[in-house]
Amino acid sequence: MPTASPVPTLPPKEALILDLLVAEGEMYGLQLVAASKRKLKRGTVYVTLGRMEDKGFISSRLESAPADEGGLPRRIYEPTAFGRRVLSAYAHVARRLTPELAR
Amino acid sequence: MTRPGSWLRSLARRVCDPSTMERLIDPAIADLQCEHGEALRRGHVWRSRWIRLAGYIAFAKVAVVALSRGSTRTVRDWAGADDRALSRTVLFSFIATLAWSLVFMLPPVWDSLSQPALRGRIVLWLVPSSMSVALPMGVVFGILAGVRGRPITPRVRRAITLLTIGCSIVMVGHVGWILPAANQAFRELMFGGPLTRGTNELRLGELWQLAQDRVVIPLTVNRRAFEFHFRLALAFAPLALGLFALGVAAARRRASGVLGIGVIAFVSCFAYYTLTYFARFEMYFAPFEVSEHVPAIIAAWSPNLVFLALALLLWKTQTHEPSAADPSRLDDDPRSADRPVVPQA
Repeated sequence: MPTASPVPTLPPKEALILDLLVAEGEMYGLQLVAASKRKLKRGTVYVTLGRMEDKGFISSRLESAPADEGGLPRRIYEPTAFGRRVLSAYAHVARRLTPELAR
Repeated sequence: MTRPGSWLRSLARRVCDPSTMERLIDPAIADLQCEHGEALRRGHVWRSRWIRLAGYIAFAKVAVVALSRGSTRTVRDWAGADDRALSRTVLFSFIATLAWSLVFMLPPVWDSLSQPALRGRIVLWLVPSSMSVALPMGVVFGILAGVRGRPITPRVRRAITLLTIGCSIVMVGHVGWILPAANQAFRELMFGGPLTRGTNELRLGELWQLAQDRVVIPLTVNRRAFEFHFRLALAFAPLALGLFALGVAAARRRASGVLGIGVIAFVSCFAYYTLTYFARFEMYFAPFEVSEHVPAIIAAWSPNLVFLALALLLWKTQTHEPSAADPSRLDDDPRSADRPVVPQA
């Protein structure tokens, strides 16, 4: 008997990150920290982003630093189509279960 | 000007695997450098300093997570065979220490059968004194049994050396404070009342004070200093005996049987404690009149020095034979645990 694929989980912090990325398109890690109004922390945001990338919710790419600035290339994150579907599904479930919150 | 986080990144590169560097470390450092540079370009010096500090704290959090997940190159490259050798060493050391503690405690506990009311406290106060000898012996047995039949890679050697150093540090606290207190409690328990403390019941600090005291007491100055150094030297018995056992295990071409391990370990420990007894006997009774001429520190540490010298000699005389089972190769195949890697005669 074939086993069903496990349903992806979406913890609150990952939901917040997906929400921000869907709204803005693509962001750096520190931009997510700033936009989250201190709900995300500077150190742990990268761990969460790495985990979300493993789950397939987001993708990332390296962006070269400007020539006059130098330094390491920054990693920029954006939501995947799968990530958008997961966020949409969880938002829908949340609205159905807690209709008073959706008002 | 060095960018913030550059040194931390170079440090992380030594221990973290490439995936962790790419996904966790580099994004954190890159964001820190960009934000720091932006603040400096706007002339916000204090903000740039705050960004640097916050970035370092963030890096520390990321590094802790990476290490706890075992994402370091050191952990990933740790061969399965090395892990098993170290685990066996720790396990056998623990079992042997426990067994020897029980052996040393058995005679006085047997004698206490006639005093059932005191038996519990007798056992309690005897544990520290039995541990002071059982732990070094347990370490010897544990090392010989744990690395039996396995190549001793530099990683295993470092880990076991650190283990013996850790045991010695624990022993310093044990012989310095716990053992004297337990000895005194045992004496008073058997006597049934308060007793004046002898040298074996003095703490390390008090022994040091005694060695500095110029008041004339029955012991000579050299003997008083000897007591202090002797107590301290005993604490480092796990290190001396452990390194010697490691040298013996590395020098042997074929795996010893259980009986062979027992004989080697017992003879080593017997020789060590015979040397300590001889050093103490010579210092107090001076049949060869050495105590007046040899500094107390040399006399007290001589057993440790002898065994450390033997360990060094064993390491230098063993020859490296490259083979298909070269210990420096990574080997995560669990089946290799039972495959003899040293050619059997």
